Amino acid sequence: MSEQEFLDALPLLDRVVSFTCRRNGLFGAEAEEFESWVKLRIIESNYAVFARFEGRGSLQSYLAIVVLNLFRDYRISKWGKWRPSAMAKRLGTFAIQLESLISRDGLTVQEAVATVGSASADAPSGRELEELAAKLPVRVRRRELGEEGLDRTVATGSAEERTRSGELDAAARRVSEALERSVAALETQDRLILRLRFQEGLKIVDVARALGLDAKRLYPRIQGILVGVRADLQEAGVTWPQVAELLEWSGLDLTTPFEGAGGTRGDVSVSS
Amino acid sequence: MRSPAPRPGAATTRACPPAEDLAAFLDLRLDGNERREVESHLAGCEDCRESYSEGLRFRQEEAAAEDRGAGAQRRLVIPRRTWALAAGVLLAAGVAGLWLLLRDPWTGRTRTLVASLPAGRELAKVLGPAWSDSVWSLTRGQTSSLMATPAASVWLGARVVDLDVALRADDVEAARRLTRELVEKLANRGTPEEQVVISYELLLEELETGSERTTLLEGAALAEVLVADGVEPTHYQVGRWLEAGRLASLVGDPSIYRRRGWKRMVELLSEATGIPLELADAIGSLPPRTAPEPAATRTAIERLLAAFANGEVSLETGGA
Repeated sequence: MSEQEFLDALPLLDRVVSFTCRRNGLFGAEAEEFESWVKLRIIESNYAVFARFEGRGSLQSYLAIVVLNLFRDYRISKWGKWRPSAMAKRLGTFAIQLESLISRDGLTVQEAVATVGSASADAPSGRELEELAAKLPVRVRRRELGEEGLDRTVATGSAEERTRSGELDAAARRVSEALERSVAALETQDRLILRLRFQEGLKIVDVARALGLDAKRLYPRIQGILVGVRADLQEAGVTWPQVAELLEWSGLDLTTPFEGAGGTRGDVSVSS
Repeated sequence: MRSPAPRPGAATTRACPPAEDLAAFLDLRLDGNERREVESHLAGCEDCRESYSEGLRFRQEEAAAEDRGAGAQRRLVIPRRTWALAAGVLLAAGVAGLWLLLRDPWTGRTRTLVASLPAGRELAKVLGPAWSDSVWSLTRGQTSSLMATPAASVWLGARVVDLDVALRADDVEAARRLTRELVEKLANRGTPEEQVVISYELLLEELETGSERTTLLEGAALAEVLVADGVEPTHYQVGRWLEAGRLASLVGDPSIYRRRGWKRMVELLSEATGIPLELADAIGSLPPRTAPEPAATRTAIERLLAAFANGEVSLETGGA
């Protein structure tokens, strides 16, 4: 019975897998490998996915969640804890694809632009993709080094640059910790709203629908939450110039609530 | 909520809700405590939040694909709607030109459009009591009650009509483009952004997934936001007349402007420009639901525009 359900659901399963690959920058053989891996996992478990399904939610949503959960396991097995940045999520599918290829797979910007551009008829032009790539936070690709590799690794940059980098690193930690404390003190739903809006990059209207809230009231509510967070940060001694400097600092991917809601960082700046 | 169970194939290390609970939450099928428990978990679990938000995006993509399929079928059944929109889009450039020509008279120079009308009181009558003060100011050449950028109000009026037609014609792309233009314009005018953003996002949402009726309602809500905050109502209305009249004349559908006295407004404006006959006649002679005659009416409009451009007619004198 479950096998028949599996066969019936194959077109839907293929669409979910295709969506997941697109959203995560898997192309060609890699996408095919993931598709086979998913189906194999389902078959090997004797279609347990379908046996567990009770119809409390729709099959579309259920299979989407199942495949996305499976993708996370697949991703960890292949690339460790790497995941798309909040900025890439906000910028959309093509940005995620570019970021995956650049910071996860180690392609150059030009190679990533060419790959994404040729993968879909709907892809933006090369120039637009380059502009998109320029908006992504610079992230250092995770590399595995043995002892030999570590021996060859030398510090780069002048002593002054390294000192500066260390200062900024420490400042980033202070800001992040202050932010985490502030967010952790929020009501559960407020915390979820901020996370969905700024970390997952959902539109306000989607957040509202997801939580069964009135979209028109949600915007001022978010603004109110941000005002509270801003006050907390100010109390912790964080100033907007500090945050701006950190955001300018390449290599930093701050998933803070300073962007988005008002359209500009200045709208919710932490300086008075 | 049921007791947590391991995800299929996942090495679960925390009490994540089963996939089916997340799916039910995504579909808004959980109530009360169950819902609050999932909310609470999502607030603290990045993995589940990622699956949930991506699942939401997948559902939106599926819904949009279904809507596009349904939309394509509707357009096949009612080709006139698409044609009407295409004509509307073609008109946009012409309207922009007319707006530029109208801009000077509205912004600080002594000339005012309605002051040159011989039928200012008739204008007030058509507009109704709510408009009397503004019309009175205009007919007296007083501009102190006007916004600093009334030309923008004319532009907004024209765009809102375009948007209305695009929504009715079920052309999602044109409606999205027009909506973006409107939002950008409003953002530049300092309208409270949150109102615009909310209305804009709701409209985009409805364009993707909603029914025609809800889409129209959201379009109307956006228009309300535009008008409610700082748009000078008379100029805004002039923009609506002009665009409605032009659309009507080119598309050949008088119903576009028969509501709210638009036809009469176009006639009055034509009269004020000194070359009323071709345009007003072209519009006035259109029988209901006839095949359009774009060539004839376009000629009249082009002549009107050229007359402005060449200085053959001015709004100040009301004639050549």
